Amino acid sequence: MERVILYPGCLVLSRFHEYEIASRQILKKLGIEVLEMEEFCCCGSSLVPGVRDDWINLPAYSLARAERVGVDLITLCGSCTNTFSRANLLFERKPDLLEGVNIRLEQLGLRYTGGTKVRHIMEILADSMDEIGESVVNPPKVKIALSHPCQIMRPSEIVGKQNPLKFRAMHEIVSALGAEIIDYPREQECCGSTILLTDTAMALEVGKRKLESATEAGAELLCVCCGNCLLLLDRHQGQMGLKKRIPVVSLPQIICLALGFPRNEMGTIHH
Amino acid sequence: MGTDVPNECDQCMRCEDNCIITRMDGHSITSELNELAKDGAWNCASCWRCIEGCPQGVDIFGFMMKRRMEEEVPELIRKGIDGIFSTGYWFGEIQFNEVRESFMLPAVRLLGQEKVALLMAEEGERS
Repeated sequence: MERVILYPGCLVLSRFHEYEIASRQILKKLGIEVLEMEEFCCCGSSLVPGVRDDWINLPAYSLARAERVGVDLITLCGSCTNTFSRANLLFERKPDLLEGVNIRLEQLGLRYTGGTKVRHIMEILADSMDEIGESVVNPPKVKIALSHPCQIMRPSEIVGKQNPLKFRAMHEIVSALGAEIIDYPREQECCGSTILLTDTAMALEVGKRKLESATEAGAELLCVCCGNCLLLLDRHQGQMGLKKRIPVVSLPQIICLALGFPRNEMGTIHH
Repeated sequence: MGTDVPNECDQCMRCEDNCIITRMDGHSITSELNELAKDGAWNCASCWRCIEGCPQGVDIFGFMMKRRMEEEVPELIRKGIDGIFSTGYWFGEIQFNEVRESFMLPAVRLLGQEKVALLMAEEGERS
């Protein structure tokens, strides 16, 4: 049985339990054993590098934890995926960096050689699309629009080499569930969630435009696969002044519904 | 051209066109690359379309980090980084395990202040 460490990230572990629960359920269904991170530490995202030269020690810590167990690190947020992948690429290009990082890690009884593979949950779902499709008992009956997690796709230099995910991955997975997918003009645009940290009004406007674009195209539900997308498009949706609200649900939850998981085994669905 | 704008950048404005912030009439790192503003380094959606679309392969991330070091850190980001240093967790001291347990999710143990201090240099010290 394949074993992985699930790294929910700061946002998901305390705020989006339904996303984490559904992800764990799907991994279990796919025969993947989930191990816990012994002691959790923030990956640092793309925010710490602008403040600290030693930011890379943060992602290196979790990568080293996974390497010690000999398993892949599975992420739920685009931001964590991007940061871990960026760190791995830097270690590959500048092996000297590892020496400095390991001086710190050794104080925690750890060492990193650059060998941990980082996979976002959507990559696993994409790889298991056929198996998921064959297990569908309850095809979604709502019209679903998609919002793709930017940071598991871009920059391709960072995530492209380790993550063969195509832009169409979410489209293909949701299609495999038998759902009707609604294309909309702002589908490929960023949700704008990270802007919440610097300009709340702008973030809400970016989110509003995206959600309006989806509902105007006829979508009844928006599928996301990132804690940041959930934060802005779901939790902050009530502040956007939308004429018509729309449920925002994570891809693993939609899969759980399609696969017939009892609702009490897949976390709460808001709305 | 600004002294620290990367030589490879010919200020073609493609990054500016690709940036969701500038399309909302805000200032971002692309505004700084194109010398249209000096207050945009932190205002970023992290969608990385600027990097992906740059025909010159400019290290926009590196330029952004350099400029961020020079600009004031936004309050919420400062708070998040303080949270990491106090617990290992962006949101600091939030008690979340009781709620996690109610969802039958395993408890999460944080790295904690002392171990984060071993992992990172002291505040202000650059590794």
